[in-house]
Amino acid sequence: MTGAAVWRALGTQVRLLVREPSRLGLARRAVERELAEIDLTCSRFREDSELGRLNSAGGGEHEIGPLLAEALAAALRAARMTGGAVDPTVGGAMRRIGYGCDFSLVVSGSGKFELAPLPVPGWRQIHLDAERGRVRVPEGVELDLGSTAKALAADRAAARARGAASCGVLVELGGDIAIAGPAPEGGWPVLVTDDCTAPLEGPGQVVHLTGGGLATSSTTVRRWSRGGVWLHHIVDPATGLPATGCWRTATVGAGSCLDANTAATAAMVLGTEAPAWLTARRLPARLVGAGGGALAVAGWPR
Amino acid sequence: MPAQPAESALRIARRDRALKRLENLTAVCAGGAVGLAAMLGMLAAGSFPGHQVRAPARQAGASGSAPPSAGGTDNDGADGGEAAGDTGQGAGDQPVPVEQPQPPPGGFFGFGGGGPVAVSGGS
Repeated sequence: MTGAAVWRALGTQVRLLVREPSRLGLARRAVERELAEIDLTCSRFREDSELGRLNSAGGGEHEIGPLLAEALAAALRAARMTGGAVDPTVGGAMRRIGYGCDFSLVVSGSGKFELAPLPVPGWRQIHLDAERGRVRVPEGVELDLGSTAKALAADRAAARARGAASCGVLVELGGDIAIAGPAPEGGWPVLVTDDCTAPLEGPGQVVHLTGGGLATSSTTVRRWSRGGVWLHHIVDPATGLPATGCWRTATVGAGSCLDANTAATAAMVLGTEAPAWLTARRLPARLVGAGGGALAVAGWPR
Repeated sequence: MPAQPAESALRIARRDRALKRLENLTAVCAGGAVGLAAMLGMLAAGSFPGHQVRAPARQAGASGSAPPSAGGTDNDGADGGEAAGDTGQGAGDQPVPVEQPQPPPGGFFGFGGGGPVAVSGGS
């Protein structure tokens, strides 16, 4: 028997599961506090967030708090691990393609829209001293911690809820899943599909997870059109444009939600190179092509 | 019959010259020995485990989150600039360890039943 709660935060859906229903309230308060801190620190869409102030500072060296330092370190680590396929300097590119505000405010348009490739500034331009809490950002570089901050939030929230409730927990944050503490016998059953807002009984594959993290990246959600061209939120840093890889959805399992999210996003950008990249890192994955066919990689259950 | 004084003086002079040559030879040998010992000492110091040489610090975009340098024979990694010894396995000679996403724990996928309680999808 488990307890469950669903609500919205960080512009997406939050689902919390606890193995002891009587401790759901304790766990939920812990998750809510964590997500509020992440939002106030890492949101690109809030002018009063620490990241918002950093982006509007116009470059230079700045003092930052420990949570932003951790989120930046996670984003830069993701960039290093993926050879730059996941890059926190995509903020400007996001704005250029029309995703410069909360997605609920992004509107499609039919006006003329130029889509010239323009590589992002690149993560190597960012110099972080996490221990001293200082970061140097060149002028004109806009940071977007996007998916890595969300996955980091899921990991941190799961650990915090586990500590508060003293039982096994699962945190689902916009389709990214972090597990802390003991899972139910046989694992937590999770539906893997294109859209995190799909109903639990919807189409997809059900897997049972005992720990670690699972994340899905997809071009079938957060889409909008400009000048007759459909755009999505997964930007290829090499072009500054929405990735045009061969997968519409990538789901990856890893030791943490952060690593799973990093690998899933990288798989979308890497395209045909993704299966070998994932296999070499022993990251089980489910890659869905544009036509709907699924490819199981590195031990993903068929 | 006792030696003549002139003959005795000649023998003394020869003895003194021989002693002088022996003294010079001893000095040369001592100097050579010291030099050889110093050279062998330097070679030994470079060959035994535990010796440290300074290697350039690893370059990273995120200096605060850069991984520790590769382990070696007496590497405490205290300042990030000290690396392992010159035994052929020093940090300067090893491929720099590349960070990788951590794979899931063993038994990641369970074999339970029941309907799904959570969803992993794009957002």
